[in-house]
Amino acid sequence: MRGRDVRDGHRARPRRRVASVLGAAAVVVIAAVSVGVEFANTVRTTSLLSGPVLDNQYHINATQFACLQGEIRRDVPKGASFYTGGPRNADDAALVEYATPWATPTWNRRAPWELALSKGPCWGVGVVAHRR
Amino acid sequence: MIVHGVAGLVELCLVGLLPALAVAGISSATLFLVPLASSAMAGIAATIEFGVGGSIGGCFVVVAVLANIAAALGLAVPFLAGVGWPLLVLQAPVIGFDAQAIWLVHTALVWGGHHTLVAGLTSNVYGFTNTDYPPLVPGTGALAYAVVGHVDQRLAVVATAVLSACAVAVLAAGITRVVPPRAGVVRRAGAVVVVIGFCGAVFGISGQFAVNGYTDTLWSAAALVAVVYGLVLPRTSRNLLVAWLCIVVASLTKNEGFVVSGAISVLVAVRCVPWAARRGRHGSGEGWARRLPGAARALGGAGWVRLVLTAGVPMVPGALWASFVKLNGIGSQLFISGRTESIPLRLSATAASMGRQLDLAPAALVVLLVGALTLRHRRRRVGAANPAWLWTVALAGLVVIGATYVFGTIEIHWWLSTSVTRTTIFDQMAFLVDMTIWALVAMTAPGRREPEPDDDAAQRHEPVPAARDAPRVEAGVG
Repeated sequence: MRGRDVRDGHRARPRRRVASVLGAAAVVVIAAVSVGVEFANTVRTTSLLSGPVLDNQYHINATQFACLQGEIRRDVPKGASFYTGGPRNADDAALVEYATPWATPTWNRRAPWELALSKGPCWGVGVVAHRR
Repeated sequence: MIVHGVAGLVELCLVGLLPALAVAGISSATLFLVPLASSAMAGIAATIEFGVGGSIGGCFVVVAVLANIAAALGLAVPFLAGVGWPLLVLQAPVIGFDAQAIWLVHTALVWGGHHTLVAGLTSNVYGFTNTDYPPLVPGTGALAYAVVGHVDQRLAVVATAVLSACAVAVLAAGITRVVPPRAGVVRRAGAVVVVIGFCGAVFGISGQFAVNGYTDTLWSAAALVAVVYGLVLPRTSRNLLVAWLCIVVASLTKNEGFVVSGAISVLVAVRCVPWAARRGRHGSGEGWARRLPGAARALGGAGWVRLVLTAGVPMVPGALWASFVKLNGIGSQLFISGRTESIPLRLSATAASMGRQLDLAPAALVVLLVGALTLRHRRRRVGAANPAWLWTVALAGLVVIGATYVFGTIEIHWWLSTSVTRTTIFDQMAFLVDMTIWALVAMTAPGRREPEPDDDAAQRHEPVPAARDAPRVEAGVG
């Protein structure tokens, strides 16, 4: 069957065969270029993310996170609710991330504990806990 | 005693699972072959213990590891090669901003137990984490915490990245099924190269979001698996089940995944149910072509009931989560405050920003046009459905994401600048999938008639039905 395009029992016209071959070539080339461009993006991203700078940054972030979590666990009892300073407080999100699921954040000012970020031992940041 | 017996049996079965699958594939024999494969390894281990030395446990571990590696390589070499190397960056994982602020917080809440989870998700304090987001990724991360016994954010991020890579590998495996089983060695080797390139390219589209704990790659790839298996490959019960499973994954991963999965689910039902009914009437139906309409008929009988059931079944878990969220009064943060910009302004900003991201769209359109004009007969021969299905889903994804930006309430320019590179991953990936399928179709031999794969019999390598009984797989209809 090589060289013949048979469909529904009829021999396809040569013009259609040529169009089919050209179309196949065009599709393969365009798809290959598109895949190649995105593949190059992957190579770039992979080498960027594997670099020593980000490795070091991850180490700092991870140890800082663990350190701040440790400070909260040391000062605040498990399950206690704490006031974070309200929705407009810029540190609110960070404190919520550090405290979950050890303690329960709330915007209620009557909460038994109040937490705030300050200067401290965790790469320059610490948590201050006040019992109210 | 019984517990220990069951645990031992399960352990034995887990060790032999991959080798048995590699040898026998998925069949009823595989279930019973699994313990036999494990015991064969135990026998080899005892032989080594006798002839070389060491303990039975040590020898068994060595044999089992070698056998499983060989089986894994035999089952999935191209896909492992394709998705494996981008994951090398996980040696020093970068945790993305949203991964930290959303997914890892939710994971910690799930890990904290029912009361912590409910209190957290219903609390205004956690509003910034988008508390209505579905729980698949947090659930998986919390399960990983349960295995190691403590919170380990790096582990949760790695789990998310591996899940994303698995979804990409399943997508690649689905795409390669466009290549007919009887294709020559050269064509199949070419397809393997294409698929490895495709996997790498998907990671290029996703950038760092594939490996830093974000979930956009996961839901996008899972939704596209559903598209490929449900709307591109031949209609078989196995393909339908794979599509359903991935609809569940996508709909439980992210809100946009839920909405897009709903559209995919409806389209899969529209494509499959009338065909199944036709097959059932003609008595030539195989597998679910007979079973599903029968089951649906038992519940109601009418055609539209079957349609609703087929579309609704895979959406049940996602809908259940959405119901719990609604019942607990949890709202989306994307629509909560007053909108400050006009709709036309948001629309133009969204169109411009999304347009810049969709750089694969022109190439995909050209490939679609050239392919439809010159390769539609080849596409029909390999049993791939009309590309209109995939493009409909891609457009639905664009509309869903675009409408969220336009009718959302967050300041539009900041919102787009912080998210549009991620929210367009689905459509970029869809364009790449379509181009790759067309490329594989183009690589098939012209004029060679492949066996009609559009039924379950072909899946089981049974005789293909006579041509007049086989359903027509038209490029414009199927």
